[in-house]
Amino acid sequence: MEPFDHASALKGCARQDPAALRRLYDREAGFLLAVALRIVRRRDVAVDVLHDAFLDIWERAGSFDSSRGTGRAWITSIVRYRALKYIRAASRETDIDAVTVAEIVDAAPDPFAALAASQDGVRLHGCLARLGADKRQVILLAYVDGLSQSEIAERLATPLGTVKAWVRRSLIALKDCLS
Amino acid sequence: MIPSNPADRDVLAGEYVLGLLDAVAMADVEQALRTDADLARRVAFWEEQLLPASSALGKAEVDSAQWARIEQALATRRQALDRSTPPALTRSKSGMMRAAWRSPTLWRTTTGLASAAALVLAILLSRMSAPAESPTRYFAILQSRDTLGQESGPGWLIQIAQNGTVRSLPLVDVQPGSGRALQLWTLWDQARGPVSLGVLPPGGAIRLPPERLEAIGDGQLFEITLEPEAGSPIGRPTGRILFIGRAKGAATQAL
Repeated sequence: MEPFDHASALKGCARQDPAALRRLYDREAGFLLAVALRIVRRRDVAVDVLHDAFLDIWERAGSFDSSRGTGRAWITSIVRYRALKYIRAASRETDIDAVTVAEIVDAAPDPFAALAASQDGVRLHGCLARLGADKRQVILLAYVDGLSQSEIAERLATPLGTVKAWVRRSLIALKDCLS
Repeated sequence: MIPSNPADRDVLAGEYVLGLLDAVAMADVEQALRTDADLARRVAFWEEQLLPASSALGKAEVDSAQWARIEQALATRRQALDRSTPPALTRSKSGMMRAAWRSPTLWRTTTGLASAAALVLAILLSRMSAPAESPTRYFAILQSRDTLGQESGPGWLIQIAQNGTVRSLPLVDVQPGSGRALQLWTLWDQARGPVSLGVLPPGGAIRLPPERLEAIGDGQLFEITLEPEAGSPIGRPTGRILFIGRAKGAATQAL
């Protein structure tokens, strides 16, 4: 893929230039929709998440700080938090049962395998590989699939307390490995 | 509570990014991120380092009509911004300023001033024939709702001026309790769900800048819910409805 300057597109958005938002959209909408879809698991909802996220990006572009991180991570986070908020609110209302979650997650491609094949994923793949299978799965089920700790506990048939301890230990090990 | 130990802060930031915090802890982190640059850096670390796992998902096919919908929403917002002359405080069109208007911290620090200013303004207006305010286009009288969901008479008045300014005027005394606040919502699109107009200051009376309101029409629903102090952490009502009612266009007849 050609290099793309996300930070300058975000500066354009902060200056209220709609063409800058369009450039970001053309470049990233498909990728961001995949992120939202994986978490909310329903296309109609994912489409709404993407819509709202782009309005957020437009409104909040002025607060993007390129000294803290990349523009791509920033916009991806906006989509993820929107999707996560939706799925948490929805699960309180509808209570998706664990079996359904398991089925959906099983049918989706394995992000760990995909990471190995991706160019910028080598380092994260290496650090996740060092965690061991269970702890790695906890991180990816949360980050990629948007599962809550209790959903992960059910999914892995592991006590909630153990999952919580794994999260903590995995984060400390990952921080060390990725820094 | 935001920990001070670096390892605990990394774990908290990581749990926030992974989406593993409950609604209250998540709201705490969001609140802290506004002022805690160190925590913001730790959050950014995880957002950056975990990004490849998102990228590895590839792309989904986007419907070609989707951009048009975004463009239309932007146009509506700009129109709302350009409508008439908002009060001096909201005059700035910079994104920062509008973002700041959504910040509960700013809300809390300025609401005291704002309600004092509103009081002074009300007195001034009653004493002199100031230039007429933008005329009222819509009223919504919200009915009080008790814990059983029964309506118990008018409790709140929402007034929407021609220029989009929204005024919130309590008709009853409400104490949301410590750590809680009242939040005003409106609903015009069932598919989108209730949209927040903001957390109300203690007492509840406030005038909101026109850009807060994206749409208004006859029958549009307004409601006030009980939420955590910083507002609902999930962008939609989480607490019980205290006041609810629909907007009705005002007659154009002069007094």
